[in-house]
Amino acid sequence: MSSPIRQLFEGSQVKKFLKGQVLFYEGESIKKMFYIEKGYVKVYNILPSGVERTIFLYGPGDAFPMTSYLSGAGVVRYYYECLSDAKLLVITPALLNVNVKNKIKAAEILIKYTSSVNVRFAQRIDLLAVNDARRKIIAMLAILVSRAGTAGQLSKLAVHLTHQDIADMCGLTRETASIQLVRLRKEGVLANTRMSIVNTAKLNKLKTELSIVI
Amino acid sequence: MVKRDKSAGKVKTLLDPAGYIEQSYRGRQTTTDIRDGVKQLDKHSKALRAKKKPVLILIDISDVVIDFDRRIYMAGVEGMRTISFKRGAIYGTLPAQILINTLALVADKQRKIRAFGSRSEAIDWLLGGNK
Repeated sequence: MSSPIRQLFEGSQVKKFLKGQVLFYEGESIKKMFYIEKGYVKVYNILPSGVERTIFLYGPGDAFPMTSYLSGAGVVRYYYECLSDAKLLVITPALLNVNVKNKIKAAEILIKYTSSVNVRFAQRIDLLAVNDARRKIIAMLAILVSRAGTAGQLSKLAVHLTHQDIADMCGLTRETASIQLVRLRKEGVLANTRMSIVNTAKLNKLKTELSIVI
Repeated sequence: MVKRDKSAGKVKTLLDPAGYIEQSYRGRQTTTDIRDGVKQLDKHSKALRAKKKPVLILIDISDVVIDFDRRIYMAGVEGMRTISFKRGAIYGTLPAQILINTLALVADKQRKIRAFGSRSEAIDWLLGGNK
């Protein structure tokens, strides 16, 4: 999958990263930017309680940390970690600047892309503020299907996730996440025990019932 | 008959006693509004340069409606290239900051123009307190 933003990575290097590799630490200055060719990257913060909370999930065709860079912050606000093995294009901010210079079309691509990412971030942060484990998990499954799932009624997820992974992504304990995941499996939303196949019709019905917008 | 957008055309420019040019935009902007704003800035810029004073510009776009319009982007880039200035600090919402910093990259003025989330940060950088 290729997106218009890829053309801004002209002259970049292709690099492979392993699952679990941290690409950015919170507060780190932006000395490189990434475009995802293959794989998934999760964006998270660590709450004062020590709980990890996944804010966002980037997949093929995404670039980061564009919003932090273009807002002029100079540093990233979250941790970025490979959720699977990944093949990424890596570019320096200086080279990206060269690729944008004198190109209004490039500006259009960047503005449109960052705007869509910001909307998705805002939706996600709204959901994280909700104190409802079931709602959080359904929203996360919807994000996973939209970012890492195949099309069709039974969507196969490209990333393998444990109950602990889902718990971390939703800011829940593993026990709470497990109770909800078992319930979703009984309801047929999760079509197998490994949580790798999601029944999208049933998921969408729950999303509508709970007014979840993803 | 073409109806005029009532929210358009709200550009104000003045010279702040602290020595910088201050400009504010409100509502939805058209290319004409941006060109008007650039003309006003240019006039003040020439006056300051005639007095051999540095041209510092502070722009408030916190109440601007952001449109995805290439013509507006081009008018913005044109303005960044037209005016002679030492520094330009612009403040507004996050989408506005992204817009300005991106257009500054296109105009190759990213060292002279910066967007901020607040007026105080913008003034701090403009007056050299925060490099």
